[in-house]
Formats: sequence, C-alpha cells, structure tokens
Amino acid sequence: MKFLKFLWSPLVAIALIYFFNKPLGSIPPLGKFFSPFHGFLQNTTQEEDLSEEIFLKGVSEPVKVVYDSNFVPHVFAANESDLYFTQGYLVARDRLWQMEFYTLVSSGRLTEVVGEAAFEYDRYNRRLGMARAAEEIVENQKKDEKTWQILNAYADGVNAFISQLSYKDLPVEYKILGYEPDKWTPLKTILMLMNMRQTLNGGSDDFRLTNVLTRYGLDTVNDLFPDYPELESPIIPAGTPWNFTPEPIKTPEVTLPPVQQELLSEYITRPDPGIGSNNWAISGSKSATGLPILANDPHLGLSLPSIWYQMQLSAPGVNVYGVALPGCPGIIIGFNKDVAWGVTNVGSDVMDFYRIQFKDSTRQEYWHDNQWKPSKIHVEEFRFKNGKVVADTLIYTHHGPIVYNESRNENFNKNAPAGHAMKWITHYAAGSDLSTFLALNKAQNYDDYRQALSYYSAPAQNFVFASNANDIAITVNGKLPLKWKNQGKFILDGTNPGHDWQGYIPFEQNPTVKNPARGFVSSANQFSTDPSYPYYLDWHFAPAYRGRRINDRLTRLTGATADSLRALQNDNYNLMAERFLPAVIPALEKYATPDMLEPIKLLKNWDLENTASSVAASIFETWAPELSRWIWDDEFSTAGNMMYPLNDRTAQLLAREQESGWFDNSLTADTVETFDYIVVGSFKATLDSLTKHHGVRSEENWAWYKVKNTAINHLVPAFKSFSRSTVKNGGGGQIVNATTARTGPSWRMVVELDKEWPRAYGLYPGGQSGRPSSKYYENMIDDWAEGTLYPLVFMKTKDEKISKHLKNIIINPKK
Amino acid sequence: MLYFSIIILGAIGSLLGPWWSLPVVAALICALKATTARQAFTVSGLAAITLWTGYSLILVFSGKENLVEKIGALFTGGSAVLSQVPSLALILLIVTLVAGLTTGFAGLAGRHLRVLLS
Repeated sequence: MKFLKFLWSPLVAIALIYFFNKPLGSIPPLGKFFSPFHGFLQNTTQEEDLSEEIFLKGVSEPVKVVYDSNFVPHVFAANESDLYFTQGYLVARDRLWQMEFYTLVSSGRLTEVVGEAAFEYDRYNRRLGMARAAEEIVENQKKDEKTWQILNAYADGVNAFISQLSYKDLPVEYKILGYEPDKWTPLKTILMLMNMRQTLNGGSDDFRLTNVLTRYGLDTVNDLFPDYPELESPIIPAGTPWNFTPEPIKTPEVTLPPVQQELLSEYITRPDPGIGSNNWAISGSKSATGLPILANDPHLGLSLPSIWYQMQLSAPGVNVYGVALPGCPGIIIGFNKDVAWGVTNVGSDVMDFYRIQFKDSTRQEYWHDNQWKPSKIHVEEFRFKNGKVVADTLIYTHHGPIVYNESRNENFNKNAPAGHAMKWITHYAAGSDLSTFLALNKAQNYDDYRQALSYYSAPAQNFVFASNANDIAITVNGKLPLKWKNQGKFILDGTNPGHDWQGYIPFEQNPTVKNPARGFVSSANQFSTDPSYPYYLDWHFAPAYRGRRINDRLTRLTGATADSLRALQNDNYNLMAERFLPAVIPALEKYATPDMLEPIKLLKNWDLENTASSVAASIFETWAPELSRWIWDDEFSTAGNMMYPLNDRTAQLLAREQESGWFDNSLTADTVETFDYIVVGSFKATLDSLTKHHGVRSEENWAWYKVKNTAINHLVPAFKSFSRSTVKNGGGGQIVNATTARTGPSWRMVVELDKEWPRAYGLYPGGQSGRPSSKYYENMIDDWAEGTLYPLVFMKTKDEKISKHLKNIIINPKK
Repeated sequence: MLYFSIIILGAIGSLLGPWWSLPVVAALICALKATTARQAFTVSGLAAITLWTGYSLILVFSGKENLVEKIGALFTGGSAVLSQVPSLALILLIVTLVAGLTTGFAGLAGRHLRVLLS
C-alpha cells in the first residue's frame, strides 16, 4: 500500500519528461525546444559582429578572415587546402541546415526528417536517379587528384563546424524539425550540384506534344509548334560563321513515335518558365572606360536562406570574389583581377523519353535492336521519421530509369510516361563541372576561359566572359547530345537503336563567339543560334522578349558605365505587350461596355513599363494567360496532358490570323466563337478576376506588385514567419527584370574590368546568414527590390584597410 | 532555501546537461531537504518556473536578436484565435507548463522516494 502511495509520482515525473522529450507529430519536443538553456532562445545568443580567434584541426597555417559590413567573409589562406577548408567551415557556420536540406532533396531522403508526407516527392527524386548518378560522379572525381583534395578539404571544414555543435547550437530548423546534421562528404557536394541539374534541366514537354501529334497530326504540329520563332535574336549573332566540319549524324527512316491509340495519361514537369537568366558583356568600344563591363543575373526560385553566398577566396594562385553555392567549394559566378564570368541556362533538350516494350510484367527484359535485353533492377529503401521502412523497385534500361510504371493518383509528378525510360543528361557522370568553376576562379585570359569550359558537362550554361585584355566572349557550353532534327521533340521508340542518342557535340563545336563586331555578347535563355547551326539543339527555347530587349538596348548603348548595365538589369519594358496590344485593342474598343472603358484607356495610355505601381501592367499580365486559355484550352487543354502553342505563335495568330478556326470554342457545338468574342470575353473575365481577388479597381488595389505578389519563402514553405511576402518591385516573366511570384534575379552582379583592379557591384534577395533571427538574414531584400547594387569589397591583400570593416576571424592550427 | 538551491543547482545542471537535468536536480534536492510532499511539489515547480521564465526573459530582452515573434507565429499559424495571443505570452505559458509540471512532479517524486526508502 505504501508502495503504491509513493511510487505514482516518480512514474508521473518520468512520463512527463519522456513526453516532453519527443516530437508530437509536427510539434518539436517541447522540453528541449522551450528550455532557455537548450532550445530556440539559444539561437539568439550569437555574437555575430565580434572578432574571434579560433583554433581548428585541419588548417596548416593561420587563416585570416575579414568580414565586411554586409557580413561577407574575405578569406586569406596560405595554401589552397586551408582555403577550401575555411570556405567549408564558414559556409557551414551560416548555412549548414540549408546545405544539408538540398542534399536530402536530391537524394530522395526527406522522409527521414519530415516523415511520410514527403514520400511521393522522395520517390520521384529517387526514380530520377540523381543519387545513383552522384555516386558515379564521385568515383570519377577521385581520379582527378586536385579536385578530389579540394572536395575533401571543404568537407573537412564543414565537419569541423558540425563537430563543435551540441543541441543548443544547432540551427533552429533542426530543432523545429527534430533531427541532427550528418557528416558532410564529397558526395553531398555533388548531390548539391545534382539539384542544379534538376532545377535547370528537369522538365520536358515531350509527352504533351506527342499527345498533340496523336490527336491532331503532324501538319497541325508543324503549323502551331514550329521549330524556330518568327521574332528571335539568338545568343550567337546570326551570320557568325561555323568554322568546323560537323560530325555525321544518322537519321533513322522512321523518326515519329510509334502510333498510339490513346493519349498518354502521365507526364513530367514542364520546364519552369520562371527559371532562366540574363547575362551580357560589352566590349571596351561601348564602355566609358574603354574596357569591358560584364553583367549577370541568374533567375531561380527565390528562397530564404538564399541559394547564393558571397565570398572572397584568396590563397597563392587565386584571388576571386563572387557567389558560391552553399555546399560547393569555389565561386560559381564572379570575377578576379583579370576576368569576370557569369552563366545563364541553355535549356536545350537534354531529357528524352523512350517507349519501352517489356517482355512480361516482371519487366526483367525489354526489346531493343531486335533482341531481348536484360533490365537492371534496384530496390530503393525509404526510412520514415517514425522508423518505418518502405521499399520501391526501380527499373533501368540502357537508356535510363523508368520513372513510373503505371499511372497512380498519388504519383508526385502526375506526369512521367508509363513504361517510358528517361534519357537524361543529369545521369552523365564523366567530366567535372566543379573543375570548370575552380579553373574560372583562377583564369587570367580568354584561353584559360576556354580551357576551363572544356571540363564542363551539365546543366548546360551560356558562359559569358570578359577580360581586362579587352576580350569578351560567350559560349553555349555543356554536353549537348548529337541529335537528328527534332529527335526528342516527341516520345522516342525504345526498340529502335536509331532512336538512341548518338554521342555529344564536340566541345570545340559548341556555339561560341569571341569579340563580335556588334561590341557585345549576351544571353537570356533564347535560341542559342539561328537555324544555320549544323546541329539540332531543341525546337523551343525561352520566349525571345528578354533577349531582344537586351540586344536592342545594348546595340544603342555607348559610353556605358556599371550603372548603365545596372539600369538594364532593372529594365521593366514589356516587349510582349508592345507586340500583343495593337492586335487586340481594336476589338476591345469596338465592343466596349461602360465598365471596360477605363481599363482600356489605361492600357492605351500605358508606357508599357511593368513598374511596381502600374495598374495597366496588372491588367495585361493577368489578361495574357487568360486570353491564351480562351484561345487554346478547348483543343490543347493542359489538364488533358497537352500543351498550348508557344507565345510567339499566339502573337502571330492574334496579329494576322484573326479568321482562324482555332478561335472557335470546340466545346460549344452550336455557336461559333470569333476573334472578337474571345478577346472581349477574356478581357471581361480578367477584370472580374482582378476584382474578385484584389478588390475594386484602384491604384492601390491593383498595383502590379500586389497582383504579382512576389514572395521569398523559407525552404520549408510552412515556416511562414521565416518568409517574406509581397515584395514591392516591378518586373515580370517576359521582362528583363524577370521577377515573378516565386522566381526572379537570385543574384545581380556588374563588373567593370580594369588593368589595375576591377570595380564590382552586386547583391541578392536575402542575406548572408541563414539564421532567421540574424540581422543579416534578409537585409538585402529591400535594396534588391529597389534595383540598387552594393559596391563589392574586393581586397588586394589581407592587411588592406577597408572602410566597410565589420570584424576579423583568425583561424589558427590546433595542435 | 530549498527554492534557491533548486534554482542555482538546477541552472548549473542545465548548463552542463540536457534539459531534464532540472527535474532530476529538483528530485535529488527534495529527497534530501524537503519536509512535506506539498512543499516538494510547489517549491520545485515554482523554482523551475522562475528559472526558465527568468532566463527566457533575459534572453528575449537582452536586445540582441528576437525569435519570439517568428516562433510564436509558427506555433499559432493555423489558428485564428491563437494568433491573437501575444507570442511572448504564449511561449511563457508553454515554458511555465513544461518546467512547472515536470519539475514539480520530479520534486514530489524525490520526496516520495525518500519516504519509501526510509
């Protein structure tokens, strides 16, 4: 009796401790998390502005790190091993959670930290085979001793930081989600790069266009989905000679996919239209200084923490400034004393699908080249946060993996073709993308640039270059598959060896131009070349509006300064509206009802600038996709797994084919809709939709920045309070200032080359620190929205006095 | 006396060990020093609440960085009613419940075990 009377309280106490020590669903362990000695309040105790002297095993000589007032570290090391060790250590200090998160995404391991909710997303990413390819790349990388050492030095630096952490020091995201960081490895760096391949090359329209072909036939495809747009301004100026003998390519007798009775019911993500970039370089003939100026703004999904991290890295043989990817050694976009470089996405067709004929439902053999060939079977295991393990069987053909075997509602990506194998450049494991960037960090001239580019595989990028020897250049670079014309425009035949990829365009024959007569080079994801290039790259690229606008302005430019190029990065002129409005406004005026008069007037008086406060921009930008839907959705519905004709073709239809049968809504049997009906109807629907979502029309309610609603979300979108919404800026999808709801210029940089020392400017929409409570978490966002750039502090020596000095960190070797 | 020893030794334990060092320390001290079960429970609970809310408030008002609003919003994001409660009040309420309950019962357990074993 006494026993019972006195034993219940210890049991209650133990039960309470146990209960508060473990996560409750998505709620973190309350005891750990709310203890002021351990939990989230410990994340606010950092002395981030104070100088420090620290001792670490892993550096051989003292390393001096100077922080400028924007929290950018300038690292001065005595050798490269110490340099990349320190880079890993410092990036981890500011961005550890983010770095590891990216690797969990690309290796399909999110279920381990967030649980079953991520399963379909993980399964999709595993089926894409990125982790398997990353392992192969690591094996290849080991053969390149120099790069392998750098990868390891970097990993050692990250691990030196991780080993210092106890629970109370963990980044707050670990505490909220309830897990702890794992050791960093070179594989994780490669997984980080896999993310970029997926982001930039991970979409396809093949199956959708195949459905259009099945439904409407080749003539319609040729009419509505042509291989080159009416208006274009290609990256390599038209007329540039091709000084090489092209490789032979065999075109098979049958190039169209096997005839299908039914439309394909699954598909893969479309290329994200918001993912793109601008870059350009002007030669000395156009600049005030007589030397080149280079600019770059890569457009990516906007996130907090930002995808980029600014650094200066200096050791004997290298002194470079720019942005790094958290998790990767070196600088990806930047400049040194002599050269500057930047990248935009090429976006050519590097993902194809092959219809596979399996022998039976075991799928162990498939028909190819008149024989049964064995498939490879891998079993993937998924570990859930709660300990549950689920297995998934993955089938590989020599083309690549089967992404989904059958259509199922819960498939993450409703889209991958059933029984179709994916051939994807991301699985290409030779070459070393990292070596390209490490070599560019040290490049001194054009020849070094070309040499650096030769190591690169994927994702293919337009590498722009400028040097203080007055050279400018741009190269469409990466492994570009050798294809017959339109190979991969549709689904390919997996039984026909003539449909296999036939190799890659030799590096020397990738489109490139040096010091063109027009005095500038540029790219904005448009067509790489005009149709005279002897190889087929793709039938569609990004719409040419940004590229044409940039080229127009650069053509007119003289005596330019860094500020002229900054202004061009922020150009809000709507070239698409300039093209569309004259064709459609007459119809509006003819049938205007009283409520339409004022909006029509706004459009007519619009200066075509997508400024933050413009109401006309809101009307046009909402109307353009609505109009597209009204024209095309009855025949080419995206819900029915087809695709609309591209923007350039729609513009032609509106301007010159107003009698076209495509304006008739095929879903209404007894009426014939006309051009006028579609234009006016879609315009009214636009006004209704704007009123419904944003209130009665007023300069306040319909301001473009509110309608566009650019948000910069935390990588876990559910962490709303770690995110920023309704950023006040202009721009748009087809605007040089390419800011949309979720994507935009993720880094803006302008570099004035100089014989003595370059002057550079830049910023990104975020901050250097990944800690949500830091004053450097999102400090650059408002200035980014304004379109200003910060002067970048590029130090000559470690002892140089800089005016914007914040603190120093000295890292000493630990005995 | 009991109150201050739990706060001081509990703080030292919390600086060196896991969050549940505090209830363990309270249990030990109550086993040695508490005279009644009621005293063990209330003094332990109050000492823990004092220590956790006190240190929390110091960190919140030290003027360095503030995470309270952001964390508060994460916990109340889904509820219109809860999001009306000031974040600091909500967080102090959770802190009070977690620290008070675990340490109160641990102190009581210390006293009870003492009685049981003597």
